[in-house]
Amino acid sequence: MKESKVSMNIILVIVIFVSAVTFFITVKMTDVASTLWAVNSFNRIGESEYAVRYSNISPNGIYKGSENVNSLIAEGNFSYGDGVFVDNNMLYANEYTLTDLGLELCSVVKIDLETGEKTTLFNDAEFMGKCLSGELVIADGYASRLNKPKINSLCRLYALSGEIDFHKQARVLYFDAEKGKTVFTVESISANKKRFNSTFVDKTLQEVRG
Amino acid sequence: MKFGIDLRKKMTGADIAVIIFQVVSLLPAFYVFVAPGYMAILSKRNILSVLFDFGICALPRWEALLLSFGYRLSSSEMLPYFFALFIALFLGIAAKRCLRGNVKLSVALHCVFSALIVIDLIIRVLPFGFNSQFAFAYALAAVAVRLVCLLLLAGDLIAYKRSKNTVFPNTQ
Repeated sequence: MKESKVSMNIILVIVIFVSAVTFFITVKMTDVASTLWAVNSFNRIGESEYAVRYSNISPNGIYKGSENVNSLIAEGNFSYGDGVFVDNNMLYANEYTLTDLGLELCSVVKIDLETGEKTTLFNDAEFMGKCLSGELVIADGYASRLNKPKINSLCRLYALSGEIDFHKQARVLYFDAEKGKTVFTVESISANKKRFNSTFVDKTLQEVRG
Repeated sequence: MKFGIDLRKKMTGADIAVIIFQVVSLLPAFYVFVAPGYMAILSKRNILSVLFDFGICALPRWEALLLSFGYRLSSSEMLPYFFALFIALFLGIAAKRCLRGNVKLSVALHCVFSALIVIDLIIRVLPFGFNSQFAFAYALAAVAVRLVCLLLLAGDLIAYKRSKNTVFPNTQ
């Protein structure tokens, strides 16, 4: 009886080849499918002349002007509503990055609205809003709540080389936009803490300190 | 017709250790492979996510961190996926060439890989939860895998010493 010599190396070559073909089909199909329906949402930031656009027709990002006549300031997927703040030509917002399989990564960025220059302030953090005394409230040290890090294995792999530690839990930073530094930190809060806003956002910094 | 690895080839401990490494490298792949066609897999615990966690923990520490860095830089799951598979393939091919024929090279490689595993064990065991995002059970299983590989490599070296430094397993 003739014996074949199927080694692990050959199995790996087959897996790599099949994966390349399969991923090309599945990931590309998802990309194509996402463009079948036109999406174009133009969300104005407060009373300002700036807006956040989500679209698969034109680039996502921060725009200046009206929905029809506008110019792109910075490209990317940014938050709006409570998750964005404009102060002295500086815009603070969350920037979301989606991976190929849909893992949502979040970082807090600062954008110069005159030059369009984007600076990342905190990786793996989420800007939650402005507290009553004016400081920016940032939940630092965990990936986006949508990822359910306790369940999603990809989230854990992503966090392995970062500063996120799901065991130590997240913390809340109070960032003074004028001084450009963190003025107060609340350590070790639950990453999915309920009533986050009533505990950390809907108060003055003095009340939180007290 | 026989599919699989023929144990009658009298594999050395190093051969088996390489196969263990290659199998471990394949374990995280199933989870990523299935995810594009069945996204719901990402939001609930299942056997594939258990295999993923165990595979990542059992990979050498430096490789797991490289995969994570690559993932962060590329924001794509494809990079760590193919990177892990290519490293496993590269090591398999390199082992096939270097562990046979040249006795000195083979002994040196055994020593280097043993030292790397010992360093990996020290990093993982001393501060047990050191920068680990994964559950304790996976860390424990990963230590067991490393110990098995270390014992296999040490077994080869002991056999070499006992043969009065003349014959190294599987180098003829």
